[in-house]
Amino acid sequence: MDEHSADESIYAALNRDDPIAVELIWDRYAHDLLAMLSALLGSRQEAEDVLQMLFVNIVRRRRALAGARRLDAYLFRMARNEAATYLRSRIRNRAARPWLAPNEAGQEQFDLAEHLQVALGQLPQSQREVVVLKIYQGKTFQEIGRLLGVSINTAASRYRYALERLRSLLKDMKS
Amino acid sequence: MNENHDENERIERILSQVHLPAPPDELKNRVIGAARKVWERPPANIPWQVPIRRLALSAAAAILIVSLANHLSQFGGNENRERPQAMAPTEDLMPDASLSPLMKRQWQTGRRSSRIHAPGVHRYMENIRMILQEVQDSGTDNVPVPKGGDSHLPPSHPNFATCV
Repeated sequence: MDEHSADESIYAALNRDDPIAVELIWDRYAHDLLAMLSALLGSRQEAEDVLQMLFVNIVRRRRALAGARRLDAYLFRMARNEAATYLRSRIRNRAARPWLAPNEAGQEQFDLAEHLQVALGQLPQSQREVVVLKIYQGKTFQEIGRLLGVSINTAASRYRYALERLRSLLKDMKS
Repeated sequence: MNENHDENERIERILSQVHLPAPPDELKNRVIGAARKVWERPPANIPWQVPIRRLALSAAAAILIVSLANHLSQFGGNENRERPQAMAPTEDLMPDASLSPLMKRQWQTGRRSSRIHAPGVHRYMENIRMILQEVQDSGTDNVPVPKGGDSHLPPSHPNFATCV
């Protein structure tokens, strides 16, 4: 199923007030939303909790969602708002679980994941979300711009600034 | 430029050595279970009720403001009627101390012209009435002149009675 027809199915389910819409939204957007929430919160566990809150809010506002012109942009905006609300009342009382996972097994790879996580954590939020969507979710600048509500040029320049900063943060690291 | 491009590629390669794991099934079950529970509940706000509630609140607020203003203006009017002589000095009633001198002067003039000094008017009218009475009683030859020589009457014609 392509992206457009997937969105059409979600709209149809929302208009029928059919709970299957939740599962369709999950299948289509959960991974991207979790990736962005992980990048924003810097913690996998907190991202999962916020994702749950987000889905509850999606259900509460399903009528507004059914009327949204762009489903993906609407959901990403909701996710960012949810993360911002969570960050305002955040109490860091639990050990943060890494949100990046190494591609291969081994201690060295785990260290690399941790190191990259720290480096990404030093980027401004606006740059971090662009990097995560581009590198890990494989989105184009056009898609990123649409999801984050910015122009393509803004998305591309945020990515460029992020890489410049990462170059200095990761200068001692071998590729 | 080329060097920057190479450097960026190197960073991208490093970043690509890790990934963001997909949400596990356990998370999916948990989230969808919680969302479905909320779905089955009746929605808290029925959309058409929201604007009606807002409209009712706005109308209530407007009625409250208007009735309060009405009440206060009546109260102020009664107070003024009860104490017509108790005029505060003009400077005390000045609306804004930051007015320019010209505006202050205009405001004071406006106030002064609208104020009537009742005892003065009464005294003046009494004086006129007395003079007219005397003129009527004694004819036109003896026109009384006030003590200060400052008559309120127009200059009389020597043959006033014959003219008329």
